[in-house]
Amino acid sequence: MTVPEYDDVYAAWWPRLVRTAYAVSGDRGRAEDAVQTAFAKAYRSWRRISRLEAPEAYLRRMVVNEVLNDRRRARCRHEITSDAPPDRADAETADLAPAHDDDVWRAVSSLPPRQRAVLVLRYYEDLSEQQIADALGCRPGTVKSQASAALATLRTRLDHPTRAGEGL
Amino acid sequence: MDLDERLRATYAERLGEVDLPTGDVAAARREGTRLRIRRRLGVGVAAAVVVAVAVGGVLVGTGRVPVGPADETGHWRELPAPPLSPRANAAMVWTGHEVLVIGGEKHPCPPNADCGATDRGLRDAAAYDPATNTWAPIAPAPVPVGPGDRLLAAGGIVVLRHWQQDGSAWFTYEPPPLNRWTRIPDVPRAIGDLPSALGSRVFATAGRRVVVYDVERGDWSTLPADRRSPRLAARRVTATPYGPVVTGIDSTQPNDGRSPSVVLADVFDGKTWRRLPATGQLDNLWTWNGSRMVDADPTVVDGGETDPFPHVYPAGGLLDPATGKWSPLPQALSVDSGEGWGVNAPGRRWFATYGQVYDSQTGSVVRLAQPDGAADQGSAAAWTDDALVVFGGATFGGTTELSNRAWAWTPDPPTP
Repeated sequence: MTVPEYDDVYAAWWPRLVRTAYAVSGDRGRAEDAVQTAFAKAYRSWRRISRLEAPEAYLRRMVVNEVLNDRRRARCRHEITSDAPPDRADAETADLAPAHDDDVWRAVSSLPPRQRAVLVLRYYEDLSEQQIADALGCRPGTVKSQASAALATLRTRLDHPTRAGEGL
Repeated sequence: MDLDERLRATYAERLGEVDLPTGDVAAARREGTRLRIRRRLGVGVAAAVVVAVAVGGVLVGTGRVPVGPADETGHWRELPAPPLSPRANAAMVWTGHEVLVIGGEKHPCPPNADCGATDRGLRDAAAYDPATNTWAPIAPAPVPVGPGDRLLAAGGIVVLRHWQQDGSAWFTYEPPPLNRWTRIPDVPRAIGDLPSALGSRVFATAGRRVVVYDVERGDWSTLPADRRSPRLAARRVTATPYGPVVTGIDSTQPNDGRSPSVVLADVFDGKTWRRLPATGQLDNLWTWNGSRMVDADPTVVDGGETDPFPHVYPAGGLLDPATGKWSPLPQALSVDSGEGWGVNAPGRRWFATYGQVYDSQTGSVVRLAQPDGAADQGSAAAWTDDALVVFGGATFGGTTELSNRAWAWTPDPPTP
C-alpha cells in the first residue's frame, strides 16, 4: 500500500473539506478552523492515519465532528476570521455585501447542524448511507431518520410537492 | 426539478463558488507539532485551546503546563464570593473600573472529549470592583455567553461579539447606572470575530477591509482597502495609536511545509496602508501593550519531523508599529520545564501565558502558581491595571467539579 504524504493529502482535500464544513456550520471562518484543527490533529497521528485504507474518510469524520462540536470546543481561534458568505470573484466589493437569497440554501441553513451534515454528505459528497453513518459516528438507521426529518422539513418550508430523497 | 436535484444543484453552486485561499499546511504542521509536545507533557488540550494564548476577552485555563524555572514573585488572595453559580468558560473583561464576568457553562466539555449535547451557556453576570473589593450582579446578557464569544472594552463600554449559526451578533453593555445591553445594528456580514479596541473605536477585519464601530457615536465606518501586495490571509487587526495594524500571512506563499509563513503587517496611517518589514514569528494573536504589539505565545516551531524548517521559528514576539521593528520574546519565557497554572490572559502590561506571567515592560518572567482550591481548567481571567483576576473553572476527573471562587494575583514589587 502506498502511504500518502501529509502535504499531498492536505493539498488535495483541504478545499473540499472546507466546503463541506462550511455547509454544516454556515460560517466560513469556523469551517476553515475546523478543517485546520482536524489536519493538525491528524498530523499528530499521521503515521497511523496515513496507513488507513481511506485517510480522507477519517479526516472527513474528524472535520464533521469538529464542526458539530465547535460550539463547545471553541475558545478563541487561530482562524481566518470571517463570517462572510461565499466569496465572489470581486471579493473586495463582495466582502461587505449581503448574501443573495436562495430558497433551498436558506431552508437548508435553518436545519439543525446534524441534519445539515447528513444532507451535505449525501448531496455534495455523494456518500452512501453507511459512509455517512461512519462519518457521523452513528448507525445507518440514525442517518435515515435524520435525512427523513430534514427532507420533511425542507418540503414543508419550500412547499415542495414531490417525495424526494426516499432512496437515502 | 425535484428536491433531490435542487439540493444537489444548490450544494454544487453554493459550495463551488466558495473562493478559498490556499490552506496553510505549515500552520497545520505547527499546530500538530504543538499537540505532540503537549501530549508528551500530559496536557491534552485541543488546538483551539492552545491558540487561546494572548487573546483578550474570553480566556481559558489549560491545566498545568510547563514553565521556566523562575521563582514566583507574586501572591494570590481569594476574593469575596461572587454572586454567580459555579461554572466554567465564562467571559471576562476589565472595563477600567470593574471586572465583568458574564455567562459561562454548567456542563463544560472535558479536553479531548466529543460532547454531543449543546450547553447553551449562561447569561447572568456580575461585576467586581477592586476599589471596594465587592461584587454586584449586573444585567444578564441578552444571549447565552460561552466559549467562542468575545468581550472587549472600548471607552468604558463593553462590546460583546456573540457567535451564532447565521453570523455574529454584537451588543454593547453600559455599566450602572444605565446597566443595559443594546444590540449593535448593521453589523457587516463579513466581519471577523477577533476585534480590537482603542479609545471608543472597535476595529475588526471584514474581508480586505477594516471596519470601525464607534461606541460613542454608535456608527460603523470602513477604512480604505489594504492593497499592499502580496495580499494577507488569516487577517487580524490590532488597534494602536499609530493606526490599526493588520497582520496575516502571505496569501501567495506556497505553504508547502518546507518554509514557514511568517507574519506580515500593514499599518494604516489615516491615509494609506504601509507594509512593515516581515516579522520572524508564526503566530498572529496580538495585544497592544502601550508601546508595542505583543504576542506572548512562547512556543517554537521546527516544521515537524519531515522536511523541518531551516531553523526553529518562534510563535510569538513583539512588534513596534512605529518603526516596524520586530523582536523575539525573552528567552526566559519558555515551555521547557516546571509547572504553573495554565490561565491565559493578555493584559496591558502583563501577560499570563503557559503557566507564567510575562512583564512586557521589563521583560521579566515569573511562574504563576495555582492557588489551593482553584479549578484546573476553564477559568475566566483578565488583568486589571495591576492584578490578574481569575474566576470559576472546572476540574475534570471521575466527576466534573465546577468552581465559582475567584482570586486575584498581584505581582510583588521589584526588590530594590
